Amino acid sequence: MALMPKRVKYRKQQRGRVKGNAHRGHTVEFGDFGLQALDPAWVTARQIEAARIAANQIVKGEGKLFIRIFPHKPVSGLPAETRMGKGKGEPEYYAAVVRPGTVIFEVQGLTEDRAKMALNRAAHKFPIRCKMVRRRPKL
Amino acid sequence: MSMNKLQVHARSERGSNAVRRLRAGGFVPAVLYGLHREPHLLKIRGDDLAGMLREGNRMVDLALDDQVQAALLKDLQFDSLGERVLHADFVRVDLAETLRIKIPIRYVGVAKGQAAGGLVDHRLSELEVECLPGRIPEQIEVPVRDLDVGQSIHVRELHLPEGVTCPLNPETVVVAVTVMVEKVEKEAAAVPEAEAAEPEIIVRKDRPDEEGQKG
Repeated sequence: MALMPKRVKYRKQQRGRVKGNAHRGHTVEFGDFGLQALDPAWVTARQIEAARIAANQIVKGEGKLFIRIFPHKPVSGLPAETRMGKGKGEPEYYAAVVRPGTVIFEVQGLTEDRAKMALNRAAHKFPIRCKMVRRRPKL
Repeated sequence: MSMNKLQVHARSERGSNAVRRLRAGGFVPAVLYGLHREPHLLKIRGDDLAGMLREGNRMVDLALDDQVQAALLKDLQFDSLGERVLHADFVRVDLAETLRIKIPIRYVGVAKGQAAGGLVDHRLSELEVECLPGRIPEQIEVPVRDLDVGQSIHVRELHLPEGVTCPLNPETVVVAVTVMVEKVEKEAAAVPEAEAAEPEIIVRKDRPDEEGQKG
């Protein structure tokens, strides 16, 4: 099931602009390897779900998968063949705002080869370039 | 852990703009503090620092002008993509005094219980240890080959190098092989009904009449 907020204060949001790099959520915190975004994007809940399923084909039974982003942002749109005006459209889907550097997924308990395979499968579901990063020991 | 010499230079530039120019010139800003003495602002050639990091050394002899100071790499700041070091923190150490430090744990081998459907849960990725600065291990190896489902390795079972102790509770679990619970299947079954649902709107409790309008 695609991720979605349980409770929101407002149904619709302004679009905003994705500026700069990630200044939080850009390090591997829970697993051994992570999938890091290299481009800014709105990653939809469907894409996250598709990537989760793709990665889980490898991870399941061997390790753990951590999803580090959540689609908080409602994205609205007007229906097809509708004249302009008449106010803002209804929310169509939810997306996560991803900045370059954001760690999207993490895996734990897998060898490097298997982790690479799992994260590579997941990366193909996202509209952005991604790279695999390993956990950096805390000093 | 061996101690390498790292050439550092005193730094007068401070503030984000000056430091940005410094980085553009191939230097990494750093700071040296500790042992109740005045902190020193330093700069290090990026290549020198990268070489030190590649070797995995935490203890280093900082050569500043004609003085040499034993120091421990305390912190590193990286850019968002984790590719470039932005800043390094060094702390002065007394070579005769024990220090407390976190050492990365390396799990060796594939657990026996994994073949039987178990999940290897790495509870710790770093281990806090106490030792003399000259005896800091690069990493602590934990063999997990013999672990079966339901078994775990505790801190008391770790083989630490000589002169290294762990201040953690000896009963702390380091790694465990647990049984997988098939929770996902049940969640997946409930998908179609929940798909169309909208999130609940948060309304202030003293104004219940707004709930109907917004929802």
